[in-house]
Amino acid sequence: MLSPRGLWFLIVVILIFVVGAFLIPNYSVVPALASLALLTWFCVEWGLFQVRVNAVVARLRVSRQMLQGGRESPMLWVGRVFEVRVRVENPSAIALPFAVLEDRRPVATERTRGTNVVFASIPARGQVEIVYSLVAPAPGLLRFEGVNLRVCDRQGFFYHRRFVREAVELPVLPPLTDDEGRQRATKQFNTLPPPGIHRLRRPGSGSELLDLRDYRPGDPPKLIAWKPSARRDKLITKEFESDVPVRCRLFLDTSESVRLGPTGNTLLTRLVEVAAAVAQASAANRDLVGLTTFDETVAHGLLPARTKMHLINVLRRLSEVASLQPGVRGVPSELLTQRAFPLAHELYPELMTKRVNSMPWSRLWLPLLDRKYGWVVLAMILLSPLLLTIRGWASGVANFAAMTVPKSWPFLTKLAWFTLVFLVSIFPPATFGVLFWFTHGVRGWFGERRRKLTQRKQVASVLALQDGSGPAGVERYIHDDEAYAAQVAAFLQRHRLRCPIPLYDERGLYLYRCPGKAVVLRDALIEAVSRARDNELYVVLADLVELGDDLAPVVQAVRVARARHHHILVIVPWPSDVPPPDDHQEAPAGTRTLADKAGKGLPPGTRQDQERKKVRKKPTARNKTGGLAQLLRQTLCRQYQESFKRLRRELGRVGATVMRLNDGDPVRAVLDRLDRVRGMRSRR
Amino acid sequence: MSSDRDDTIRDVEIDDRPDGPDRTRGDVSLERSEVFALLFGDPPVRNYLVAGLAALAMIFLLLLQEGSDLGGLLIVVIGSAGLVLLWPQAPLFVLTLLTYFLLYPTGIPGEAFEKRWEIAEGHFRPADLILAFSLLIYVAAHYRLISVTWQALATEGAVRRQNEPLIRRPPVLIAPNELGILLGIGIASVFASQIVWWVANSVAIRPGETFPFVWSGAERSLRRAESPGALPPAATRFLALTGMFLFGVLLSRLVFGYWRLRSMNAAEAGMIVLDHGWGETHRERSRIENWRLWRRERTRARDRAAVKPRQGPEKPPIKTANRSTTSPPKHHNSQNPSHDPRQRAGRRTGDRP
Repeated sequence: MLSPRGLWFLIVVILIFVVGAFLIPNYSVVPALASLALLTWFCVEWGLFQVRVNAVVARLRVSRQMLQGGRESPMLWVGRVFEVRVRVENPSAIALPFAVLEDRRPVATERTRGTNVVFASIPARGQVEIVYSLVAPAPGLLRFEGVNLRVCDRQGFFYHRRFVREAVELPVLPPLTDDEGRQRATKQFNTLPPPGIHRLRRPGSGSELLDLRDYRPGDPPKLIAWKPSARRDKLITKEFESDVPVRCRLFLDTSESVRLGPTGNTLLTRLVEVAAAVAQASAANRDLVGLTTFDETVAHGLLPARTKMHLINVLRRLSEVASLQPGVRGVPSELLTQRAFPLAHELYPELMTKRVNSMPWSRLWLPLLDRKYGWVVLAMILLSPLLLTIRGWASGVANFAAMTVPKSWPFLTKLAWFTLVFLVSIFPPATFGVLFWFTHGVRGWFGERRRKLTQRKQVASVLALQDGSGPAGVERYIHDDEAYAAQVAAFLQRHRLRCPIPLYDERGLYLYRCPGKAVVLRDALIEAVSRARDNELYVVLADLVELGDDLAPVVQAVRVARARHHHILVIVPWPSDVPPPDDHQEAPAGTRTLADKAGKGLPPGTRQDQERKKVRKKPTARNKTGGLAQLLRQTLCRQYQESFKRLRRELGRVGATVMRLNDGDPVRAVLDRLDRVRGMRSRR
Repeated sequence: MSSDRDDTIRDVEIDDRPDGPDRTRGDVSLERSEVFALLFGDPPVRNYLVAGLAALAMIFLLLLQEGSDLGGLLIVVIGSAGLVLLWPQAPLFVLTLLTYFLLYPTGIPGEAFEKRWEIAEGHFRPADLILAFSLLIYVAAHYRLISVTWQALATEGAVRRQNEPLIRRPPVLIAPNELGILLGIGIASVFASQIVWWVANSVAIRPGETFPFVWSGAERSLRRAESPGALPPAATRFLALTGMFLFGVLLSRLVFGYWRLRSMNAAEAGMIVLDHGWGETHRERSRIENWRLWRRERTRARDRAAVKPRQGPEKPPIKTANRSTTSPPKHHNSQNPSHDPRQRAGRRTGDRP
């Protein structure tokens, strides 16, 4: 491609050549000779550049290595530095004198050493290496797309950009706990069984005596209790307790409500970190741990186990869900295009050029008949011939056209002018209609609409090429906002790029409550209860504060689980900008809490309820100075705290413990609960 | 570097910038003192500077020989200033000035001297060859110095963005034989251009002949055609040069176009096919899509009007790692418009903290 420098150079040289070769060669041939020499040199440089682009750039190969801890690793760990080695190989016999190679870094990574941009010349049959170190501060999936290559000639006349794709996805597993994190169970009872097991009040092969019974033929002699047998004068057999491992099942909420936020700093990331710490601590105690991830529609489960392979699978699953992005529901298509177009332009530059991905001028034309007044204009055009029914109209127009023709003009010119004036004047409504049609349609060739439509078409073409839907898919993505949004969301998700999304729709409804996850969680809990063999601990890491009345299925499931003597611990994420609910803050005057509303019969969260909350009594001095924004913020915080208290109250009634994610150490709380399950005894 | 990612590619505080002009990096802008240090202190860069200044000196001498001392001086001043002060447009001004002072050696407009046999004798004159060669070397040296000290790679868009760094060519990448190759290419270009000019002025076009191109030599009249029916020399020159240019363009397009097709990847080829297919059918498909969307909106409006009270949400299937699903999952649109959600504290449209 010609750069601005090359373009100006070419223009000036051609201009001087034209002047020197055709206007002043009789005065001096040197300008023509000099400019011709410069043009020849320009063509030679262009030819050399094209040879390099076709022979070298098109054949470059990229290979990548990730090293962590000094060795190549297929997966990475949070917080640990890893080295990225990218090798760009040139298999051709032609060298590239100057190239800028940039390894596209994944989002949400921090560079610790080296640089991912290299300025190098690629030798013939040689290679260039890019080495740098990164650290991933949050779990998820890192996607390395490839190397962005830009080449130019030595003068800066030409440049070429190509993206050498070499997509690699690596999971970033949650951090490994250190020795302090590997918490072992503390011995609370003298008869505490070894870690990883607890008592089951059924006969088994444990070491604790459960019961004495009469001897049955076939019982092994070593189980005979001799002293009671001597006392009763008949054989008595000992029965021991069965050692059953403690099971802990984690239910992790991966719905869209917890995916909101910048990459690596979402509520889901924090939940994943807690889940990973719990899983590792449980595994260290040789307890079985299982993981079930659920969202609004489906739940995926990993049955409890305690092998190292299972732990790795759990951590991998956690890293996969940590990288999930919220949907783009409600996002305007223009915003999606603004996000997807630069990404497509960066990753697929050869597919976004006008040469292969064009927008014809006819498509940009604004159709007049799309508007209602277009039919009026059409009628004006079609009905104009009715003017001929007026007596003397045609002759009058002809006389008028003849009067406008200057007599000094040549005959043909006079004839052409007469014809033009006659045609324009014979049907004035048609003339006006055609002019209106033209000015209306040609507006589409200019302005913002052209840019937006062209960008959308180019993005739609890339999406259609990737999903194989062909020209029909291109047209569908241009017209159908829903299909386009779905494809763009998948495109952004695939390339791990987030899109700013609106939290509320046009009616003011919050879009990310996700009440459907309550049903999914209920079914997952009940299924876990049906599979459970003994007292288990269910840890629910979910954002349930906003559900309100939709919490009923969860309450039902908790009740079923408690009926089977399982323990339920619910950990809810808490926004960092909302004060804890147990901090006593004065509510603004006139605002009413959920408790105040309870007696009014209004369901909380309804529009009437919110309108009532707007009613204020006499404003205090505090409100005067706070400002409306602060007042609103305090009210919203209060509402959120009340919602949490309600959640805690409802689940507490059925026996579940609710705690906040940033309230103390949730991992410690889970492990303490596991200990309680381990040391629990049933009453005789 | 050029992406619009605002998703926080965070860098820890790393100061990679060495003291003084870095010879290995091309994304660090140079201060004026660093530019001078590079121009006069770095040997490969200095070679280009010396070559450019020498070319300007030769141009001055040749113009002095032509009687245009003022022109030579102006060209030397502007060219030298452009080389040292990194003025990108200097070569274009030098070209224009050279043309002007070759036409008006004294610099006074109107005092041009027409030479009857200038075209006939203007072939392979050493002074002309040296002048063209010097000009070429100066222009090439100037642009290569600009690439090393200021900018080599064009910006992504038509207008440079605010934070977009200028990419220059690191001096460490200057090969030792670069200047030699440039001199060789320059000599070859000058000779090639001379041959083209000679051929364009020596060929006569006779449209009536079987083969219209005839070699007539340089001794031709300036304004009259050589024989009745033949084109005048000026028209012949125009047609010959234009024809050679178009033929060259055609040949290069044939060669490089075919080569580009051969090196095209599957995605690019697929996009070409897709784009052509869409271009031929988009009118009909547009009508079909408009109808489909109209039909869908109408169906949805009808469904909304006939919606019954909700009986409860559907029960989605549960998937586990060890058993298959019993039924495919269904999309659960569970936005309940009857509930006014409690607005989150401190959350505005956009990303959550």
